[in-house]
Amino acid sequence: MTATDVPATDVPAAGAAAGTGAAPASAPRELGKPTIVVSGLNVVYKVLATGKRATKPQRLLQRSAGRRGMREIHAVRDVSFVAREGEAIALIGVNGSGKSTLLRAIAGLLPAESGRIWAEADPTLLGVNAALINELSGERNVLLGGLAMGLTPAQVQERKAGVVEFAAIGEFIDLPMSTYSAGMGARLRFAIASAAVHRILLIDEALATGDAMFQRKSQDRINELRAAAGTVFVVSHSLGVLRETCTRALWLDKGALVMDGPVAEVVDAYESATAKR
Amino acid sequence: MAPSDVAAPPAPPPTPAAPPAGSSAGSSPPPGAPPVDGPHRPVPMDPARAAQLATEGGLAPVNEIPPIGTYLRQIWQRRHFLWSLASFRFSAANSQDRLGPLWNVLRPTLQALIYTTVFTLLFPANAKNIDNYPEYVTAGIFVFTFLSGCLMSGAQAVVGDLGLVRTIKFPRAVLPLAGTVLNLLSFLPAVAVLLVILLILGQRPDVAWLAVVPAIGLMALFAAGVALFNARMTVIIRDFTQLLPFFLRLMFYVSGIVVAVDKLAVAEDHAVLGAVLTYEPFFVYMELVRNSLLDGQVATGRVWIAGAAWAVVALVGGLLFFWRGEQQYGR
Repeated sequence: MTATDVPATDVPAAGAAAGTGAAPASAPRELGKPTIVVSGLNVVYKVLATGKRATKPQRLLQRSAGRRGMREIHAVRDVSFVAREGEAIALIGVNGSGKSTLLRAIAGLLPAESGRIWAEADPTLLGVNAALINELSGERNVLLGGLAMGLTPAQVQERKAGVVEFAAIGEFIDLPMSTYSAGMGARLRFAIASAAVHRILLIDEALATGDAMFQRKSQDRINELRAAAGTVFVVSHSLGVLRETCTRALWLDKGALVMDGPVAEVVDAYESATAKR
Repeated sequence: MAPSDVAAPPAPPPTPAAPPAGSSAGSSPPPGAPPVDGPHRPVPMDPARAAQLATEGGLAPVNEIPPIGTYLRQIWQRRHFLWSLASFRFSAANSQDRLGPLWNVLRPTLQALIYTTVFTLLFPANAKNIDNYPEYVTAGIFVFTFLSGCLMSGAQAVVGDLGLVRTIKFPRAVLPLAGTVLNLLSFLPAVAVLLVILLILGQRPDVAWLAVVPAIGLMALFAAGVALFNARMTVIIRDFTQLLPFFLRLMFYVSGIVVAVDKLAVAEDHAVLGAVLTYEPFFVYMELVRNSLLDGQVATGRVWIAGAAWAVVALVGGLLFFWRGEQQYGR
């Protein structure tokens, strides 16, 4: 993809349209105070490239072990934005554009190469790909997950039954998670992660797995959580759902923020840009 | 993409998305990004302005290392998590074996039996110089099993639980500390078995046995410190886990499990080497435990001081070293 693939006319032109385009977006409602500030964020993965053979034996000695075959992947490039109370923000972009990485950086799970992130409360990442401890039973993972998120033992005990019921995995709750099917594991992880009420909620493709019934249930749960949360981020490829549920969208491309605005306009621009590829 | 940069409106209209930004100087879209222009082109934010906005709103930095005091408090807040992680792992560890957790005791006991047999029947030279040789070897093996277990589980603590680390935010020091507690859980029953073995071998129960409690306490603090150190070392260099078994094998021979290293000819002839062999931590803790439990052995004040010093140095050093890397563990 090159820059010329996307003519600037896809989005309202800068000049005359700017006034009219921005007015409805900024006018309708008063936004709350900032809940997340991201400033000049860069995230770089350092990966050991495998499969390459050192051509000469000396090479192994010449380079220090830590440097050998090190590949840098610039996953998030100079991203800045402010999220405010009451916003539901969609992150859109093609696969590998840095959406999930940005979420994990906001959650404090990934170090930033440069730039800073501030948040009102500890943001919680809600995903179905989250791994827990496979050799332990589902029940014990429920307890551990709650405690790790910072719930007290009393709170965990209180919510355990609800989590188990929500995950609907029946007698498997006493078996190690390694015996679970992919869907069962995903359901339990989602149930654990959504057990606490979060001020800042980061949802990563939460609806991607599970059967139709669970998708319905998890969508309801997300709506509940969103009602209670101050700010919500959603990563998803289902643009229709995003249009319905979000107020604002960030469009990422190759790690950089290319557009930031009301969800309808950004998704429109994104759709017309991807349609032309 | 250059034209869109140049053509950017001098003062972008504020959208709900774009924070009131300072200057837009010095930032441009990366090569290959679609040139989006218009009202919703993201506006670069002045870092100082961002910091001001965050401070005014009472926001806290997310992915930065907290001050050490805060960090220790966070670990304390997760103490229930730490304990559950250790105890659940402990009960799951040998769940596939018929004899279950009994193996935690059987393993070192069988080892002690083998070493005692080999070194009293086949190579009796050392055994002659030590009173109560079977007890001496058994106590040594049990202590070594605990220490090496802590060091190994410490090295695996973060890299072995990456799934958890990448999912939930909590002070990562909980992981190596839970590993130490897990080893302690299998060591304490082993101590009970050791006492039974001592009684069978003819030792008399004594009030002096109580000294084993502070001895184990200091040893556990030392082990926790080294586990923290190892956990970050493995994150920095994965190869560390390959080297660790060799280090432990070396310590096995050097720290006098089957030999009284402090009374060897080399140690007595060579002052520096003798001091190293006598005051290295593995031997120190082995001596503290043996001196507490075995007849005819008395712990000197020096050994206790060495044990306390190693515990403090390892724990403080390990904790600070691990804390400095707190942001690296999710990679």
